Amino acid sequence: MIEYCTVGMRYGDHQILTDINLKIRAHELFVLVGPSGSGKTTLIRMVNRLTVPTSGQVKVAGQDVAASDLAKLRLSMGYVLQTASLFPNLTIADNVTIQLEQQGCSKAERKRKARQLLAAVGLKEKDYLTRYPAALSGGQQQRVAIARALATNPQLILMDESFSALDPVLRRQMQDLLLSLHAKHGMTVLFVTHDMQEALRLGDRIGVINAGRLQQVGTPQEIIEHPANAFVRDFFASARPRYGTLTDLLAATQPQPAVAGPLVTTVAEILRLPVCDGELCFSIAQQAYRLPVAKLLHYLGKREEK
Amino acid sequence: MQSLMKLIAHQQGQLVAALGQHLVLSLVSLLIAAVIALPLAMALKDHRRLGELILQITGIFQTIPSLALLGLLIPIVGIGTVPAVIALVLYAMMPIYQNAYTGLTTIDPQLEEAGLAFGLSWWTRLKRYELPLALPLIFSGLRIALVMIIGTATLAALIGAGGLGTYILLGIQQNNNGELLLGAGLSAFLALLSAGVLKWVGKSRRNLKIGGVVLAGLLVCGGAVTVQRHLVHSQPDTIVIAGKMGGEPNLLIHMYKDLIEEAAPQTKVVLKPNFGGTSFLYAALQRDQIDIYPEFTGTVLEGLAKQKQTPKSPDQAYQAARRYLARQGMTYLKPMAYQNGYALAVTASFAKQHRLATISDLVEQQAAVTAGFDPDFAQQPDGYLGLQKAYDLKVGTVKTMEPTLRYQALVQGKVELVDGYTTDPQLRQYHLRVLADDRHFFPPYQGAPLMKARFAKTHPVVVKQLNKLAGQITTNEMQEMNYAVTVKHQKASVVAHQYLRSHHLITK
Repeated sequence: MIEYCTVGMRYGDHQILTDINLKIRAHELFVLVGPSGSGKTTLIRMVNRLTVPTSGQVKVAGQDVAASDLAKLRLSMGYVLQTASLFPNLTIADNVTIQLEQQGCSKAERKRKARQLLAAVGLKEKDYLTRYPAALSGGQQQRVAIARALATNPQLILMDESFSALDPVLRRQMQDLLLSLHAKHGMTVLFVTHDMQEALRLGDRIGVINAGRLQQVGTPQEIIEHPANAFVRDFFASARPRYGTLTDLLAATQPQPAVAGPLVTTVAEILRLPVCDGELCFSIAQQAYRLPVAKLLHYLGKREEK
Repeated sequence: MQSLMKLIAHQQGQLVAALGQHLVLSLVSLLIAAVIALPLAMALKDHRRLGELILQITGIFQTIPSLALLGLLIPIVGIGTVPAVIALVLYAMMPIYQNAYTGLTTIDPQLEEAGLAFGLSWWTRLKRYELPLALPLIFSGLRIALVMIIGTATLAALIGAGGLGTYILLGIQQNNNGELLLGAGLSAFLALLSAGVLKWVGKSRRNLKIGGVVLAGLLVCGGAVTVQRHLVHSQPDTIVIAGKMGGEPNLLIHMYKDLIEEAAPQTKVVLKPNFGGTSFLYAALQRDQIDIYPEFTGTVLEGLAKQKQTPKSPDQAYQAARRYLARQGMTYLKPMAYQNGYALAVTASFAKQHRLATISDLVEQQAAVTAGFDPDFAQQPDGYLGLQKAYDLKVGTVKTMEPTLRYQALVQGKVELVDGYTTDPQLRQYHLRVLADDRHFFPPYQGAPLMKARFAKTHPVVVKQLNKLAGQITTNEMQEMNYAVTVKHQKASVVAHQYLRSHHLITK
């Protein structure tokens, strides 16, 4: 879906990005993670041409963005910023459908679409439509911002540190919302964050970037288990114990694959899940599992003996 | 206070007209400035370097003193409403542009990035959030500009654009605090009122719509009045007569009107009283914006011809002025009898006590005398400086004071001697004695109608009628009439008409 071909970026003497080669597949939720100043925001802004690379090229759906019609390119993708960035003088409905308005969509159609989009992000009450952003809480505002990004049914959504300003509880809710929307609509998502927990929780695949160079690209499991270099290992060091316990659990219990289940990142979270038919259903990094309670108890018992 | 009420009662019609003129002048200027500055700010919001440059330029306009700006505009566009509007527009540019530009360029960068990233067009961004978010600042800019325009528009009276400034200038010139207060008070009131209205208009979208409709209505009315006036002026047999600030020129132009209409009743005579100073009027005459105005011989020689030596005899002075004006393509008709030149005045009792009749008599008493002089008079070679030489006069103490305060100081006994003009109504009001200029030091100032030679040739009847005033009106008569108009607040048209009737210059 997105392809970076030997992309470089320099401001004067300052090299921001060096020789980036990266392919993001259609329908995947790809997370670009790295410390601040690593160049990840510059990379995402190249997709909608807010930033133009000084060398190499960026392709979206096989077409060089530099050669695309700018308005068409931008209208075809959703964008969620770090702050909700809702236009304070417009109602929620007008905010959500602003791209549709630009496309010349009728008023009635926009209203219908706004209601549907807000419902999709969990804002069901009708009176949200006519309210102004200032009347909403921070979490609600970010939900509206996500609804706005979905307005044109885009094949691609760009998210730049979209949940970083939220408190942990809200952040988790928004991550769940994104995962369920992604599962439902299957659009490609390019998500930028500096938080490796978030990267591990959301990413189908993760790209780790540091000092303008891509360090490693892989599934969360690959990155945790086979870090490509010292930087990647250190960066995910604090995440490994918790994740490691889960990997250990999977290795020891060999659970059956399942259709779906709530996302978990720790064993403690599994223990809080409701039991049905003597089994626990959960998913780890896009894969759902069925685990009989007896097997779990056995695993925990053996751990205690150690 | 009483005189103020009297003034308002007497001049109701003119007052309302001046108020209307002032308002239309201000609103038209504001509108033009907004039509230029707002789109400019919108166009330059994404071109910061050029935008800042324009900001500097509008700031430079602001630093030019208004009087200087008007002076600069006269050779280019003449006098009247046009240069006044241009000057006001230039002044209003800065607050309107600065506020709009600041409003449009200080929008939250995250919002701007969102708008760009969503693929919104320049127009959609402007219409949907940039303008609405900048609106409070834009309105405060308009408000500042309007208050400033209404204040500055009082200067428009100087170049014949009328408005409330007429009252302020008249008040200063005639030492009439009532008129001054009236002009200043009304313009301040107008400024506050319009600022309030704009604030209300900016409060909601509904108010904005109502405000727009009212403004459009006002402009259509104002435009209709202007067009109508224009049509009146462009009628072939219309003669426009203007006069300088003050009661005396106003009296004279009413006499001109009566005289012309007596002989040519079908002619339409339009009067423009209180039209401004010498240079404005002369420029207007040259540009055919007016046809006739009364001018003094001394003013022509010293102000326009800038001669160093003015002839001492009134007739020589007139001939010199006439010759100079003829070279400029002007015709200067024969002068009236009275002199409106400098004079030294004392109270009747002081004159009696010291047996003063002439300036030479004063020399004997000079050491004991305290004089109150206008600052200009005290320092000019054709004022006190020259007087010192001509009469060997050295007054004991000279206090310079505002012309408006001199006569009061004299009457209250704070000074014994003042300078003034021979036809000042205060001479009559306080029964003062003018000391005769027995050595003919003061240059002669005789009034006569001034017009273009071309106009005089094509209007022989006008020339004939105005020449009836030649040698008429003594200094005392002029003083009386000035007293009637500026102190007693009688109508200039009535006083002028009465004079002409009683001297059999007209029959109707």
